[in-house]
Amino acid sequence: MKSNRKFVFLLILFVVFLSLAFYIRAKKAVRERRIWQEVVLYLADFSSPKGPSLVPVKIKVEKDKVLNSAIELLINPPPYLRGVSSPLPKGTRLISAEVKGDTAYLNFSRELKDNFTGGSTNEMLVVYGIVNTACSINGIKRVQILVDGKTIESIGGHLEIMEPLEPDREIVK
Amino acid sequence: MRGKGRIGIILIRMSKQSGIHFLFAFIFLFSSFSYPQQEGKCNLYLLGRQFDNVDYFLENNDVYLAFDISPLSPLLRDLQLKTVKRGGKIFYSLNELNSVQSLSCKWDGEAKCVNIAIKLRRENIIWERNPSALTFQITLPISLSFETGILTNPQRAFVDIKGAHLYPAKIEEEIGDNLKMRVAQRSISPDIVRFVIDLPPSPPKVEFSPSPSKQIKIFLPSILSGKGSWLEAIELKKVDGAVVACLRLTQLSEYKTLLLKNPPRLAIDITPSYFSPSLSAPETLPPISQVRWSQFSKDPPTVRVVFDLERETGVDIRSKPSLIEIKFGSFFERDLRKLEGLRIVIDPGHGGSEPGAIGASGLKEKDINLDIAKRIKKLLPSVLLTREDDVDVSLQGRVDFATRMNADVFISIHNNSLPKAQGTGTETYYFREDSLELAQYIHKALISKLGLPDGGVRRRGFYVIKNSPCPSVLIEGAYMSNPEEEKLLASEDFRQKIAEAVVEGLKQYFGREK
Repeated sequence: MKSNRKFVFLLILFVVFLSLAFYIRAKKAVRERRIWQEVVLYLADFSSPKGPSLVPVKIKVEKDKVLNSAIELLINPPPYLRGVSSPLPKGTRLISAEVKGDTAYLNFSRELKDNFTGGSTNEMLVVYGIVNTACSINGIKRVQILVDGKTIESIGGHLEIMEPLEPDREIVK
Repeated sequence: MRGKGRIGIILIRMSKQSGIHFLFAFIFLFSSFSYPQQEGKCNLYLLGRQFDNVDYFLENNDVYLAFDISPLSPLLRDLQLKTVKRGGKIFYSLNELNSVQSLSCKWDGEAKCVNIAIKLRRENIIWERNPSALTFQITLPISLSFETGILTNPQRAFVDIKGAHLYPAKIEEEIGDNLKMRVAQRSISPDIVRFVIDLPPSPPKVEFSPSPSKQIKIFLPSILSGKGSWLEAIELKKVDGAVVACLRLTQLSEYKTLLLKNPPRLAIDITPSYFSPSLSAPETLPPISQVRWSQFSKDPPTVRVVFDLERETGVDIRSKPSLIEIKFGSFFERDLRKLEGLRIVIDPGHGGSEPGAIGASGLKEKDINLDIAKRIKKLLPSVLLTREDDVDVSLQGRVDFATRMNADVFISIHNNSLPKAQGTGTETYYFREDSLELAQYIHKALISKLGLPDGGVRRRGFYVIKNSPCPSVLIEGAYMSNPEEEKLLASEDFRQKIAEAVVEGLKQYFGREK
């Protein structure tokens, strides 16, 4: 009888503990979801045998400034990522990022155009590295690239960026 | 008496040698005795002209004539003729005139007639086949008058030369091409030599030089028509950077070409044909190291012209009447004619403030692209360029140009680049499905002509190929960022190859079976 009661007590304790653990975990997940958001960085792989392409890399960034954070990471990828690099020209800075409706307006410094070294594939990597990355964020369907606050015709003379662009899957490995 | 005794000794000696000589000597002596001195008037035929009542006298088995010797003066320039003055007239010795090499002088005692004529020998007649005519030429030491004409049944051309005496009596020669030359003495008082050319059944045109003359020429200008062509000249020249050889012929013949290896050379056999003796080798231009020719075969007459090449090269050949043109390392408009009526827009990428890719040595993509586009225009002048200078043209501007020109196809010329000296090979881009076939043809030509790694035909939404109103492709010839390929792009030869590949691709695309 006594051993039976002891068994029931232990069982209740276990259930309570388990519930507590689930509760804490769930609460943590909720809290995390409120702070962190997963985005996909489209980084350049120049040495692929099938030709240069964009490689999707999932990464969590603070939900608070998800667009800025994602683009900053696209400009300066985490050093632990091997074999991929930023598709953007050297010295490019993100001046501002804002979302209107489903369109992101990303304003870059002059280096985006000035330091671009040419090449059509290279330009695909730059433009769709930005557009695909931004559009991996919920709610963003299009990206308008700006340089020094203005629309420009093209970064390298192959792709027009006067209008907002939708993501392109062709360039992704 | 002493003299007579000497003659007697000569006679005895001669008789020892031969009876005939003795007979001659006897006749000689007899004649001198039986016709001692004669004189009077005679007939004189002097170089075909007749003179009556010419004073003569016979003495010492010689005929002395009193006549105006001036027609013969060109032949007697260095000779001092013995003259005999009798009765206020100057007489000339016929024996002495006869000793002049080119003169034939004959005395017909019965007819009392003297013939003074020019000796005509075989060596005075030459005939020559040259590219434009078959020519007979009779060269005389003095101007003679002659009559010419065509006789029928059978067809023959004749020249009667007055005041000529033929040695030997008859000449007959086959000239070939159904022609025969015959020369004979037509008459001796006066001396007339008849020169005849037996003509083929359908007689060619015959032309004669005017009479009188020291040179009698007979031209048969079209004797070779239908029989063959004459290779008159081989010329080498540069046309739009390509070397073109011109073979000039009197008429167009059949020809076949053989492009041979080891060593690389191009042989052209032209049939039927002969080469002109005056044909000379042109100054060579790369890739041609030597030009040779020979009468490769006699039947049928075939001239073989060989161009020795420094390296293997493509050739393109076209012919016009009397001209064969060979372009080395490129193609001809003949193949491009079908492209002429089309509106092909060539878009040299970048330009002006936008240099495109910049190579390590400072080469700018915009300049390379423009140069290639201009080379395409030289190969195919009907193409339309979106820019002809180093100026800015917007992407939309390029598309608008194609729309405005109602373009059939649009080809954007680019060269690629990747960061850090990376990248290699040739790529061709298309976007819409209507452009895939064009991209495949152009890409195939690029790969086979350039020999760089095959980067493939790829679908990419580059603005100009996405928005052009017609099938459109964008080519990336080579990588500016790759030092090896930049070196290639810096060479005219390689840029010419890209241009030729694009035209070749267009040729294939528009010539395809749909």
